[in-house]
Amino acid sequence: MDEDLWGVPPVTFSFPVEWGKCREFALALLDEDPARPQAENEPSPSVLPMPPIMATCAFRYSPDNMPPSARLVERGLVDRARMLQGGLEFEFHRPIRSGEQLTVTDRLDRVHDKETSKGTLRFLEFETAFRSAEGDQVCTIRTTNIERRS
Amino acid sequence: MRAPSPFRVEDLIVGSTMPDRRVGPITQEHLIRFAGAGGDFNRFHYDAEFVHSRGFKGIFAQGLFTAGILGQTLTAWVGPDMLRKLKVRFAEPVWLGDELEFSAVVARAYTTTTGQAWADLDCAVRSGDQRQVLMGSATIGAVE
Repeated sequence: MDEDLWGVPPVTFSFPVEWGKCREFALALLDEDPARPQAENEPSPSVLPMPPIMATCAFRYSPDNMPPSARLVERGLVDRARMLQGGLEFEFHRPIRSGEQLTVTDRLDRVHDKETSKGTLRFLEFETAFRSAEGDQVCTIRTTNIERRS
Repeated sequence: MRAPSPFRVEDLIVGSTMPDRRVGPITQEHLIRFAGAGGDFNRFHYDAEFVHSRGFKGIFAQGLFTAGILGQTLTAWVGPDMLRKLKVRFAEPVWLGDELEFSAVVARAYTTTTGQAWADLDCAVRSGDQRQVLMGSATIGAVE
């Protein structure tokens, strides 16, 4: 089965860091409006910082609109009903701002099984890498999904 | 009135704390707004009948909603350019009506090999009934 898992190729796509999406995320996360002018009669800031969590939704810009774990479910390689979200880890190599066009690559990074008193658990670790137009890696997300195997 | 001092990682010591932030009670509107932003319309976050049919006591928040507020709280404190790492683990569901308290404490303060002041934080989100719903860690500091 592992060979099948590794047969799913990485997916690469473009992720435009949109000003309006940065604002929408900030508001949805209960921040004050980041687009509010700093002073009376001034325009809204033309550039907004990307809320950190927004990176996890980059897959919405992928051709299949799926996170990497869903691609395995779609191919019948993982049982969604037996899968739980484990950890989630972000690393920001530099700040990300609205207006940037990033290139994202999603891939399965590591699979390992662990025997527990409740049976076998399979840990599926995915890595999503974000690169700038210059090719520099600006952000990395590692997600772990746990599948109950028995 | 004196202006508040600008935030400096160099001033942090082990045990320094982020100003606590309280949010809530969590409403259906919060979860729908977040679903709209992220595009995740999983029925666990708005469809009570579906949620009960799956054995849960009620609608619960997206884990990323809670993690996202933690991220925003951290960057509001240290500045949007200073978050280097954020790691979270979802421990318990956040139910509609829960009030949440976000906290972070410095576990390690150090200077990187390139001379930047960085700090590692232990982060937590607790509900009003003192359930720890999220545990995590963060690293803050300027880009090396």
